[in-house]
Amino acid sequence: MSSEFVVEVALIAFLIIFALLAVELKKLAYAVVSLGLMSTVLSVIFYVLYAPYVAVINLLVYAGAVIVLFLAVLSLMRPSEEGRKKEKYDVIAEISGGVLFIIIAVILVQILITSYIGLQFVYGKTLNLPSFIPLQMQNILQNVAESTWRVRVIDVLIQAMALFIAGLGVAALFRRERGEKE
Amino acid sequence: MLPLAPWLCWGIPVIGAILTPLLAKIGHKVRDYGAVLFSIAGFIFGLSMVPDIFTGQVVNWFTGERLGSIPYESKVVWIYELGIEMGVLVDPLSVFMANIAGGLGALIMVYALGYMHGDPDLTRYWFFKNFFIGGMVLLVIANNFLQMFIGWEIVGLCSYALIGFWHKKKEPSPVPDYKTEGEYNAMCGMKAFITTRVGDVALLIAILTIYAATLRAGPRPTFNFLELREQVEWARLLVASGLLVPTIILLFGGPVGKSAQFPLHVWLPEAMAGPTTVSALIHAATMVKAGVYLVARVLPIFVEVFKVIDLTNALYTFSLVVACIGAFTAFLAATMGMVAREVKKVLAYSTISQIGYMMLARGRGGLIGYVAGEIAEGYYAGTFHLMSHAVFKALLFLSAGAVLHATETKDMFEMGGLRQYMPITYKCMFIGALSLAGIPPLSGFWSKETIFDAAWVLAEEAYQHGYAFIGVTGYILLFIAVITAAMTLFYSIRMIAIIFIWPESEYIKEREQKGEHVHEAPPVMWVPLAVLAAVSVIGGLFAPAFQVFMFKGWEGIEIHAPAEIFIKTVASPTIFMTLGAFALGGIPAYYFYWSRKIDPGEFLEKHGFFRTIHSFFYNRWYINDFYTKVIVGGFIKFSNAVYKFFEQGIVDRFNYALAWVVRSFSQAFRKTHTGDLNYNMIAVMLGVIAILLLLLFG
Amino acid sequence: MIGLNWYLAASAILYLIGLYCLATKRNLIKMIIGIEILINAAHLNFIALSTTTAGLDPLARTYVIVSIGVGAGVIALALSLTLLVYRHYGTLDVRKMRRLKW
Repeated sequence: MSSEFVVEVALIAFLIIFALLAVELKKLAYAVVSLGLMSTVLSVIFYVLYAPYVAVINLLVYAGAVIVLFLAVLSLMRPSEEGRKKEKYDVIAEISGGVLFIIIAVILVQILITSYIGLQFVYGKTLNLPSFIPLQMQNILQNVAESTWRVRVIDVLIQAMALFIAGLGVAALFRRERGEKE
Repeated sequence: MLPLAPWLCWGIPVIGAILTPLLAKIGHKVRDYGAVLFSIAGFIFGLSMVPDIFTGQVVNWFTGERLGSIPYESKVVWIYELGIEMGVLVDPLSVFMANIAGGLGALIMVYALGYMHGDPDLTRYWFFKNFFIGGMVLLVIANNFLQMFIGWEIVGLCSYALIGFWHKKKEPSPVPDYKTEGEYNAMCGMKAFITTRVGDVALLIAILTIYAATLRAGPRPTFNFLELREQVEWARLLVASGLLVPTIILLFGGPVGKSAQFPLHVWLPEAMAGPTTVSALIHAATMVKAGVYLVARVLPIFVEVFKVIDLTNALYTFSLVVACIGAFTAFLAATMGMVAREVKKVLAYSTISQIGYMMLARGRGGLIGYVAGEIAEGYYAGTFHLMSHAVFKALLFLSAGAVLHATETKDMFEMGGLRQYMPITYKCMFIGALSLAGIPPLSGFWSKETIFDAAWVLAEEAYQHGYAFIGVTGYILLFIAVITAAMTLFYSIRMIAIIFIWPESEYIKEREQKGEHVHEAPPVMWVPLAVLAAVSVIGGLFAPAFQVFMFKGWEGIEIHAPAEIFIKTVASPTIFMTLGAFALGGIPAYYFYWSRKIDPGEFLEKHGFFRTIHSFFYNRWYINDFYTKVIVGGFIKFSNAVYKFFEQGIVDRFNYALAWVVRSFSQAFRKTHTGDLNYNMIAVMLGVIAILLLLLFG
Repeated sequence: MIGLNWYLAASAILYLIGLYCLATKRNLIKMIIGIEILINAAHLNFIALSTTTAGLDPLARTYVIVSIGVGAGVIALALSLTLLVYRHYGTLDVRKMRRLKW
């Protein structure tokens, strides 16, 4: 058995295990964390399947924004709320910090990717992909790079949309709270 | 003629009708005089066409250019291939009828200024009156069947509206079926409309059949009278498909309805529920003449066509039907007129009877045409009688209107002794009644004599040419006509005597005591009466000019010299029959009513036989009751049955069943809505399984 | 790369896990987790099928990218609804939320 085979099977196994854990764990926070891990494993699988862009986006969205959302909602659903105002503010800080982090990470990654591939492409050179990718794959990846470069605006828009929706959802979660306080 | 006269003589009254509501907004007097002025203007345009008929050339008076010769057609073609056009035909018959309609219309409008004064619904009245005059003139001056039919319908509509004019009256109705008099009036209008409708449908079918025949056979489909006369192929096609005789009979159905002949005569007595001016215009002078006009218009077409194609037996059937229906109707109506109680009903019956005479004359003309190849005599007789009848019937109606206006009752037996109160009306009505009966030297005599003469000629010629059956028929028709003349004299004298000669009734005495005096009519009402009486007196002298007039444009007719016409009329054998009829009718009438030697009431009680006949006539030969029970009642029963079995049984049940199905289905489906999300998920999984199965095996 | 069937099998198993979670669990948050697992299974399916030895299919990948974005939006909305539902009912048990029962 080649190493590739083992790695991929292990990844698939972890995927399923984490999914099952997410479904079965009693404590909701643990289930959500398990979901996040599952999404990370999925991202790795995507990368192995020669889909780097999808991997990165999956990581950013599912293993980032969505998990944060889940945790935010969970934290808002404590049975009792007196004397927990500090925790409330902590949660807000946590969430806003996480969102900022995600934004920064997204921007950095985008810069990296576009500079690595796009600049080369814009200047008319061919891609220099890592050598373990076979030649056919290189051609195909070049095509993919070309097409995604052409529609790169959509890429950015999708990410922005996802983040925007996440931010809206979080804001919606906080609305009643402020109203009730007053 | 004045420029555009044939278009304007019907266009101006129509425009006047449409403008009447506008004028009414300005003021009452403006509206009244305006309406009358419009009809007079239309009449003037109609009059301007008369000289052109005499000269034979149509000349524009303003510019002096010669437009054409008689018959002159002016038309606007809409769709050439379908033969649909709008046009007018200047022709002796149409100009003559247009002038009668326009002239009598204008005169009666003037009369109506006085009669209908103070009525709150006058705007509607003027509108429909003017529209009626326009429609009638359109009818007679149209150059094709379609336009004539449009005019036909217009007069039917206006007649309906005007008969039921007083539909808001609140007095108790004279007939127990209806609550108020207003409802009764509305019913009369509807009865008139529906009965004439039956005739209209027959007419329309006939027109369309002829059109379809021209569509198939001729070079171009057409409704036009002149073209139908020239192209004869359509008649060949109709004969080949066996439709000629039914078409002709149906074509006559229109006149039967509109002119109130048997069997569609039942609407005319009820139509007396309208104002008297309406009765005068519509039911004496114009609308009922439309049927006679149609027969006159169609007869030359048939003769020409059948000369070429040699289908003279169709002509024979048509003329026979026309003549027999005319004669029978004349007899029928005269019997009913002898025993009627109301003034206007007597006049209505006499109208039906006289139109029967006209139909008889036309039919005879057709038969003579079949026999001897020319139709001139009967044609001329019918038309001349039309003119004189229009004049004296309008005169009678208008004077009856004056009497009604003065005494406010319709029953003759409640009047009496009006001779001293209303001398002018008495004289005019007397002249009118004599003219109706045909006493010389009034115009009625000349026209009736011409009809008898035509019948006699028919019988003689028939025997000469060897048509024994027609000869016998001719004698029978002559006999019926003479008997009817006797009855006509009888009821005319009866009417005059009861209204004017008899002593005052209780009703009049009460009115005098209450202070509502019976007074003479205002001048605006008796001047038209005097005009009409004068025309009736001297109308007989117009016969020669009339003959020249009528046959302008026909080839091969010999125009007799004036003196010859008069002598011919007087010196024929029929004069003796006329005198005999006068004796037969006049002497009993004199005894019963004038000199009051024998009291009619006692006479009836003594002789049971006469009483039976009297009640038979009084109930209108039970025809009206028959129609009401069988046709109207049967139709209502049929509608009720359809409603019960079809509408309620089938359609409603279907609706309920449909609703029940849907409701029970939804009730059953409700059980799956548990509200539990997990169950919904299970349903989703079931759906997924279904899709997978479909993909696997589909 | 191992055969395509492994990935398809994995995707199917994930799908079934997601459906199982939706059909069985009572907690709303668990159900949303189940929805997310379903979505991820579909994504894996797409990507796996678009990676063949003959070449890569960029169209499927594009769809997946779009779908990730949309999925995130859906989950955000679902979570906000969950929060409101919790406020209204006081509980997250779906068996107690029967307002849509007939």
